[in-house]
Amino acid sequence: VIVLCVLAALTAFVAAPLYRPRAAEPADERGALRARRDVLVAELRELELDRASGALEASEYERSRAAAEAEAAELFRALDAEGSD
Amino acid sequence: MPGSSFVLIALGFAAYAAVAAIGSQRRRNQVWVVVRPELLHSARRALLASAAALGLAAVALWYALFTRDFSNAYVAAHVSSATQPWYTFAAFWAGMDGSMLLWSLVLGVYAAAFASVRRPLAEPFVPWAVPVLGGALVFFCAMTAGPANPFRTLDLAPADGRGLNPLLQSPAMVIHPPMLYTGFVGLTVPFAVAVSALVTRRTGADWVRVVRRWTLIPWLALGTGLVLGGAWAYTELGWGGYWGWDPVENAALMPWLAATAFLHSAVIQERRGMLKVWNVFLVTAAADLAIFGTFLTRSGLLSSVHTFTESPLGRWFFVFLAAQTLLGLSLLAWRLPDLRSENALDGAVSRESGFLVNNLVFVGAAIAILWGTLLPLATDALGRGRLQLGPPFFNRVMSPIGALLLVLAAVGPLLPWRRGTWRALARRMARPASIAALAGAAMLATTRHGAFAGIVTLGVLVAGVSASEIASAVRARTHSTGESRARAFAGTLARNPRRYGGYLVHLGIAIMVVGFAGSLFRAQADVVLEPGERYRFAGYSILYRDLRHHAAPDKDVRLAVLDVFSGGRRVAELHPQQNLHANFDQPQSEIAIRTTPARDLYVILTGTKDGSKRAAFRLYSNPLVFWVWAGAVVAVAGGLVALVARPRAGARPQGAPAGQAREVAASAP
Repeated sequence: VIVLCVLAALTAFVAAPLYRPRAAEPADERGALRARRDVLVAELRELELDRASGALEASEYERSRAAAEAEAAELFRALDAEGSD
Repeated sequence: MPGSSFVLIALGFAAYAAVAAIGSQRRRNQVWVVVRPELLHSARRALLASAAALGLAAVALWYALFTRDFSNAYVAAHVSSATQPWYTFAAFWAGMDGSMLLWSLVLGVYAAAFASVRRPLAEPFVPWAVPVLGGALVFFCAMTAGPANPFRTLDLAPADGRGLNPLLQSPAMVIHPPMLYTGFVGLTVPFAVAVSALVTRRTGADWVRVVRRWTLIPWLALGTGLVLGGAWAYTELGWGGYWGWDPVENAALMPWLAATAFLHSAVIQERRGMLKVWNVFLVTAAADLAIFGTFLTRSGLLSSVHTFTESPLGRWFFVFLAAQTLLGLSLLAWRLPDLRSENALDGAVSRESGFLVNNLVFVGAAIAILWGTLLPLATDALGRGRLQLGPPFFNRVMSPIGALLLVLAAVGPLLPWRRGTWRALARRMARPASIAALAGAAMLATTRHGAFAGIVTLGVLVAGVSASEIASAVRARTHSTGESRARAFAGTLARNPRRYGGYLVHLGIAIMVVGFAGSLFRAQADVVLEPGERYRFAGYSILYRDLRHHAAPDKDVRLAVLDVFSGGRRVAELHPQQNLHANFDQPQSEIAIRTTPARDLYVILTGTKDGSKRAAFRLYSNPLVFWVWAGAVVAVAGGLVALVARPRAGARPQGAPAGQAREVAASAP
């Protein structure tokens, strides 16, 4: 009896989405962009640490920082566009 | 029994999860698209249901163990009415069948966690990772429901059980196997994500970012499990050491080495878009080596201190191992054109080249251990008998590899990205190298042992670089924020847990290595003493006072009482004992250890004579073992920092303009 009750409960739990299909969820574009923003933040932080510790030459720091900032600018344009929807 | 039914239910849901996740997708214009999100949602829930059913199966087994249901064959074989509660709890994984249920349960929990955590970066990998996790779960549930069923009943229940193997009656055994399994099993998740990345052609850095944390968990658990296994061997096996290059120890070390290599090379793919093929290979190798280790453990192909887990399951594991390897390597070959590096190596003196060499050395270490472990099988197959390679072989091969890894751990953090100069590197190395050289010279003068002085030099070098990198970050933070050093230290770790957690791990390993080097001064003596007799050993005077006998419910105990004197002062009373357990023929020794930072005094009662109090002892002096455990604590703490702490966004400076782009720029320190 316990096994059957457990089986029934779990089956209902697993099958529920099939009987209550939500409207096709739009891909979480904003969430994906935010995730990418977090990655960029971490990369910028790493760059600063590397510069401070001397692990990065000044020219390489400038190049990498410029690349990251360019990517950030593009990212935020996309985020702003998402936010204005 | 309901336990078996719960395992079958878990198997059914795992199979459904795999099929439903695949069925939720269609290929359009060479891209996999989720066309039935409700089916994928249901598949994710099925993995949760599978884990829940396995949890209930585990509860059923624990219930049978604690209620002493001796009609259950597994219970009758692994506990008796006298087994203590903690060991009754641990009896769950004392045998093959319970271990398989534990494996399935841990895999179920991992799969459920992966399926239920919704992170935007990970979502694209879920639809194809679920079938891989579900497929693996089907295999392990099938093993648990079939050849390794812990719920088999006996026709005639015995009045009492056999009891737990005395060697497993150790506090470390309560936690060591679950830790190891958490490590072995967890490596399936990065493999599943890698498969998904290859199938969906998302072979950029995102899959590596997703699996970093999913790799850190098993890496940390496996490392902790290895240390706990060493502690168990040290305190229970009675040979005076903590690592014997036993095949099963080796089998657990190999996936840890592969995972360690991946955690380093993942940084290169994230930062420079390089080593893509290598990273897929490492993730596959780590998952394969985890299964291979279990295959070795279960097959009984090699003799080991873990012979209590032998079973005919080996061939099934071999089939699973072959299937997993084939899947990983064939996908790798198929997607090779998508895995081209985005950048080339710019210079020999660079962080990238340091990581690359570090990876090659880690993998070289794993291959050397694999070779040494499998050689007896190879020579046996060639009809030349079993050529056993013992600790001398492994120590000889692994010493230079370990030394090279220490050098890389010291140099790596000081290397610049892309390209640097030898001169700049030498300038940054000068201070820690000078301190390390001084420490080494002092050790050489004190001990007159070149190898020991060399190891201490390398250990101090790694510790010096790691500590100075952390210290300089703390100093900079103290200056800029005015925080106390303790707060600045915590803030530094929180600011960049991955980097500073990693340095703490390096520091811990350096301390451990110095502890390992203590074994070069290990001393041993075998003595037979009468009560009242003294024996001088390793600077101690040991007085044998008495031999006491008493009977516990499950064993006869002979306990020697020893007083330990140092410098004329009594510093410890030790009680080595020898137990004769009911239902087990071999006597088992309980070792007595006096631990100090300088050395362990390790005493085994090896023999007694009926009707006499004359007793035989084996004594070991094990220098610096304390530092092995202390270093492990630091390394685990570093791993936890890297795993648990989440980087904090920096405060926006006052007056900084609003806007997310500027916020990002301002978040850098």
